[in-house]
Amino acid sequence: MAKVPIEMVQEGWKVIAEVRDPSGRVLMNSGTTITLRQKESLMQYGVLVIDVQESDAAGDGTANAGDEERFQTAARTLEPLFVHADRSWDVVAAIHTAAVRMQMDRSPAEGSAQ
Amino acid sequence: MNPETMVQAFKACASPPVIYLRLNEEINHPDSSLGRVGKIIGEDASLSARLLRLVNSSFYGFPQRIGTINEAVFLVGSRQVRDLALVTTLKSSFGSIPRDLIDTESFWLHSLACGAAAKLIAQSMGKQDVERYFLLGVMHDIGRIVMFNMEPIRSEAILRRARSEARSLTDLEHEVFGFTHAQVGRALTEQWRLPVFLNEVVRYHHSPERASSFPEETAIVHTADILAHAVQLGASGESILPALHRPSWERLMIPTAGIERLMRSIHEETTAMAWLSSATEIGA
Repeated sequence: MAKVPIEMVQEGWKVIAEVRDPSGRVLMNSGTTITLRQKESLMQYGVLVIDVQESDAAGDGTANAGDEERFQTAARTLEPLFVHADRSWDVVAAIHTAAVRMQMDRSPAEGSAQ
Repeated sequence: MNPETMVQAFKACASPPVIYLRLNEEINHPDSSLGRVGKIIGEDASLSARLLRLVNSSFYGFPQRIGTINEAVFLVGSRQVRDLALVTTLKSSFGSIPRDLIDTESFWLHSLACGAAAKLIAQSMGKQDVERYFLLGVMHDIGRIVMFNMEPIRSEAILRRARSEARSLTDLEHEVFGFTHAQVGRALTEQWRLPVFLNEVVRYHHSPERASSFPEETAIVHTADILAHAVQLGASGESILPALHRPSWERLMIPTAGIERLMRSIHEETTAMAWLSSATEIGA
């Protein structure tokens, strides 16, 4: 997390503190994931710097070693969905990894509707 | 039965929602005005409320609250509001899917996820008219609702086979009916006289290599559909992930390292708009 000049902010980064205009009016709440359009709006409102966290979602394609068991359990749950997917293609492998990680994050109440 | 006769026999979708027709007529009139567009929407209190809720959601992320329909039409644009009006009225127009086949809300949730995915991909490509992509994504499987309602017994059988045999439902549709939901969707968009880009995208979202006039839009929705399946919100009836067409993916220039971020954004946006697919919205 860091204070970042608005020009440097990228789409998908998360705001971790309220964003205010120079007069102190709240423009964006903490927790908002920034879109390009929102970034342009903030620049128009005179915002110079914001507190953001670069998405930690963009990973390197491997599960955290400590979560290996949970990762494997989630992967087994998703196996029917990906059974014919060509995971030798890095794009499909990345989709699979992301889906498994999201499955790991899913609360029991949310479940899977597939 | 063929796709055209199936659509003609499904009375629930004889024409698009009346509000869409009225807005279209106003927008295409030489003396069209934003005020009159706002007035048409304002006559429907429920639609007005849903549109205001949508434009005040993370879909746009406007820094200030939009309080009136006229403000929304001015900020978002009349064509864009018309497209959003169609999205918000589609579910109530079609009614429910036979209970034994697939949960209606779950079906619409997958459609919303595809709409959110198409919108986010379009945004990442710098497209301005994101409502158009949202509408395309939401409508991509519209032909399936017609098939589920018109052929419930055979549809149930192929849904069960798709699960037990781990096969593509689209392939089974072709095998059993001789045509797919994509062709039925195309017949529907033709009957409704919707714009040709919608027709082509709905028709070729599983075979984007065949899109000739709107290959980019088709590639976006094809990819959005697959990502929507992967985030596991809702259900289209497919039990396996549809195959991703490599040239379509490459056309979109999405960095591989950004896939998880994109999928999480799809999940977030869809969850924030889930009220659009909720039962309480039927007939609202």
